Amino acid sequence: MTQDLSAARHELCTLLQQALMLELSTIPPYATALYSILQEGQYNRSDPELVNAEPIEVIRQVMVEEMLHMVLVANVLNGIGGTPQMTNPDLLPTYPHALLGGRGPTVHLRRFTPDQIKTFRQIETAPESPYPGEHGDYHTIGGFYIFIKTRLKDICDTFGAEAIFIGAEDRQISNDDYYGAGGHVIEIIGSPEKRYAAAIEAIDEIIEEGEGACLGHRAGDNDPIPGPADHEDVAHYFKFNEILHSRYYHPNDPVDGPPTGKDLIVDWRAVSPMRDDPAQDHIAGQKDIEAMSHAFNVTWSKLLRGLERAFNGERAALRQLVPVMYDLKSDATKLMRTPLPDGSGETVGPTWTYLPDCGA
Amino acid sequence: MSTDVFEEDRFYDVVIVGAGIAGGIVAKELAAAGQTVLILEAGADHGETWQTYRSYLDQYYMSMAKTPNSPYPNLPTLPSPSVLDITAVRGTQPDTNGYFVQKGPLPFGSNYLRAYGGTMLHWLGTSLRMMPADFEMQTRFGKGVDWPISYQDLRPYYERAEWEIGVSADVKEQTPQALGINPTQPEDNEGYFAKDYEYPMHPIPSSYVDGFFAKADDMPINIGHDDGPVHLKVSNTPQGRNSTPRRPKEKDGTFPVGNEARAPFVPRGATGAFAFMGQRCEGNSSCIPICPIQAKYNAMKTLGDAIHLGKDRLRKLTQAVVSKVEVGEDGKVCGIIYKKYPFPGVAQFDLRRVRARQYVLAGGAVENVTLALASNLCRSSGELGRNLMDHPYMMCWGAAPEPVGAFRGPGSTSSYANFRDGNFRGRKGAFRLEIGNWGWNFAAGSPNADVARLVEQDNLYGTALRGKLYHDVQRQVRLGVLVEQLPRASNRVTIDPAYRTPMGDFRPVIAYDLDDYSRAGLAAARDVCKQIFQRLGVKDHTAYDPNSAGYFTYNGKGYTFWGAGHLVGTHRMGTSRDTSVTNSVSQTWDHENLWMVGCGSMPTIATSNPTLTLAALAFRAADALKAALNQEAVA
Repeated sequence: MTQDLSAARHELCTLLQQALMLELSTIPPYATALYSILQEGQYNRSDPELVNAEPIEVIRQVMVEEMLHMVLVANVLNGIGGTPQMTNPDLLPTYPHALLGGRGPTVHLRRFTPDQIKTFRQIETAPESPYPGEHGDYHTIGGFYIFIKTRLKDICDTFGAEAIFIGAEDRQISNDDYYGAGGHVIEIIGSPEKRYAAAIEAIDEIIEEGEGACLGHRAGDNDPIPGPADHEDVAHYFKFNEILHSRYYHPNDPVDGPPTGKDLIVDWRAVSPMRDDPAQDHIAGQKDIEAMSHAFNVTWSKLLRGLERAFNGERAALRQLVPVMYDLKSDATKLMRTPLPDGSGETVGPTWTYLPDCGA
Repeated sequence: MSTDVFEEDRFYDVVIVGAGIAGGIVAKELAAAGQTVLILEAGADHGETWQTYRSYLDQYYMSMAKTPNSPYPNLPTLPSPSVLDITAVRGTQPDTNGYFVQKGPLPFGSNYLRAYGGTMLHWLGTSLRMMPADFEMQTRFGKGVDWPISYQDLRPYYERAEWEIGVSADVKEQTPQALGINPTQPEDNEGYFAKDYEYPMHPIPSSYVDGFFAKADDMPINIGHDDGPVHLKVSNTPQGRNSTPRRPKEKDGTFPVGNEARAPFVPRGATGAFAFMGQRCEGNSSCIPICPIQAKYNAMKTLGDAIHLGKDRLRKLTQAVVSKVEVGEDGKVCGIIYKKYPFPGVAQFDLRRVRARQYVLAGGAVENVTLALASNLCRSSGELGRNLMDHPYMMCWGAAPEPVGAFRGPGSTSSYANFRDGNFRGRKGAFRLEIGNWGWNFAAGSPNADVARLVEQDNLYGTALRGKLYHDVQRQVRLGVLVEQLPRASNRVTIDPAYRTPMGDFRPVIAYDLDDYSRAGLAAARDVCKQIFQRLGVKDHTAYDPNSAGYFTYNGKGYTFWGAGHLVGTHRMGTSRDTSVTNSVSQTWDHENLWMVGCGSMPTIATSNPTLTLAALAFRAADALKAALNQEAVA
């Protein structure tokens, strides 16, 4: 190998920045589907029965874990001295979005439908074998992370971990800064060997939560469900499968069989009829709606800017984003309750557009 | 309906009546010690499943009056007291509107919840320790009674309680000195916390409203007598809701808690299938009546631990209303009779009897008493049911000169704790001023009442209405006064065969009044609030309606009080069987295998919300119970 150190470091930074955008790009489709589900009371005010509480929670859990993954990637990137970017319009995803630079599935912004959940499941599909990923021939998120891991390993073997893990420790997000129920944050700190091991651990955590432990041979993801009993949680792929099958998994369920746990109730009708791939031209000329859509995008931009600050040394900024995320949900559901002006009966939806100059 | 009593064939080490925090702690401790336990809960529901908890949430969202009990079941056959039932008691005719039969002269304004998880489902989360002086009210001030134990006796149990509930606070901010209290004895400032003790989690951030009130910090206030002025200080309140867990300082990675080393605290979120929610407080701002994500502690968490630890040694039975405790000729309890009803709301049941070595009543200060009175227990002191106390709760509200961001965050995150002790307690009740984060919500029904006023009185609509509403609501501030009450024999819970539930059980008959000690404390607190409002430029909107149920006068001025939901004192602990119902570990004097656990054990109420103290006392009782069971096993 003739690569020099700076080229190697650049390669790793580029890969990890891509990973950061990859994690981010899953959130708008998940959140759109999630927020399109009508909750109790909205569905039928006179008889507020329980509707879709479980699918809401299942998707929310996955989304929260994607946020954790984003933090883990940012920590690894900061660990090697990179600069996470969250507001670069050239890098940010637009929808429909082809994952992995076109190698992965194309995701649309759609309401909660079986087809959309099947797409989500496809996003979280495990590679059939780790080998192609190791050689850069990946078509899944898991394969991409295997490639990153392989490159990290090779480059550290070549140049030594001390030449790679040179990031300032105070840029690491810790469990004190970030909380969610997606598991623990892994900090890339300590000696170069420790940092290397932590980076590998962080990447493995992402792979396991996404596709399942041991590359999808089991449904379980090696993480305990919080609570006295320490039941094992299942990976994202299987969580989406739970919704499609209306049944929960056991962690030990075989991956090629259906879930065998308790029932999970899904009502595909209790959903806002949001038009697929919301776009600005659906609402052109409708000032009120445009203002609502703009408000959503301002909130989204605020979130992205906050994340960029947090990942670049201002860790306390993360806590300030909790109310912003609530605003995002409120803004999104407002749009999804608004009928399109064309009389089709479908509703408006969020476009998830970053506004570089909105001043938020 | 059959009147035959079905004999249960399983014999338990302990039967616990009531699945709330007291019963939960005792059950968890005993289950961990390998004992067999039966928990009997009268409530109809099984709140630990997500379906039930979601149905509570739905009920809350749909309720017009979002009272503390509004999300939860209120069966005609198993009523809970409701704050909506409170009316003025007039003449000699008792008020029977609600579950309580109120004999007055003032109405008892507090409620509780009869359901799995107990009243913890709707508590605010305030987790205060008592002050050292609170245990010596008779010795220091000649008021009320002394406790049979001191603050230092209870301190290790407070630690265990704080780690069980998961309290977010900082010891440096919670000592009497840090709170800005002029303690009645200087040594009260020593050893309030054990060396190296830490709360399990960092404090919940103080609200913007708290910061507004902190502008009056250091203002001297003279509340009379020889104390000298108190210098106002806004202090963060220890809260039983999840924040960031502490990292250990010790090299071995542990924390010293109640004389043992503990691993770092792991926040527990929602029970059941939604366990990934609620590991941190998100500021949903509905702690009372219900935390949608269960970031606020509730007793279902402790009960869940108990069930997990106990496995098949622990049995939990809901829809089981205990109606009688049976006593043998040796004075020991020999059985418990309960009504198992199959259909919630239908007064149809089987009578069953269950036996155990030890029996624990943990149904709260009122239910413990009605059951004990119905069973003719604990008569030697004559104190059973007497000394009912609460924190008479009075509000002062006004409009701040600037927006303060009302209606955000937990119900309260800070208070003025300055007046929780001082030499003035010889003449008037000590109090705490709770800073409300939810505008005039409790005080004046805001923001709904504001909408009605602006539409109907000011004829506003559209943009102007929204603008004015936002302007007004964002400036709303409110202080809540929690004053101490002294134990009075005449403030009491009794039973009367004329008043029963449809299931045939006794309804609590309550006589209640405020004495001049508490009235003087409330009047002094009102004056302090006025001074704070003046200093901060808050326009006072406080109004006490002479027609309100809790209206009372003191020195010619009128005030209105409400209940705080802190029901205390009805089966107090003490040093003698002549003056108290239980000994200092909650074991009844009259029946050696009967224990009465909960707020009813507290001889005085002081100024702290009683849950943390009740939890500490429950741990203490559980230790004594374990010792009693071991002793019995040896014998």
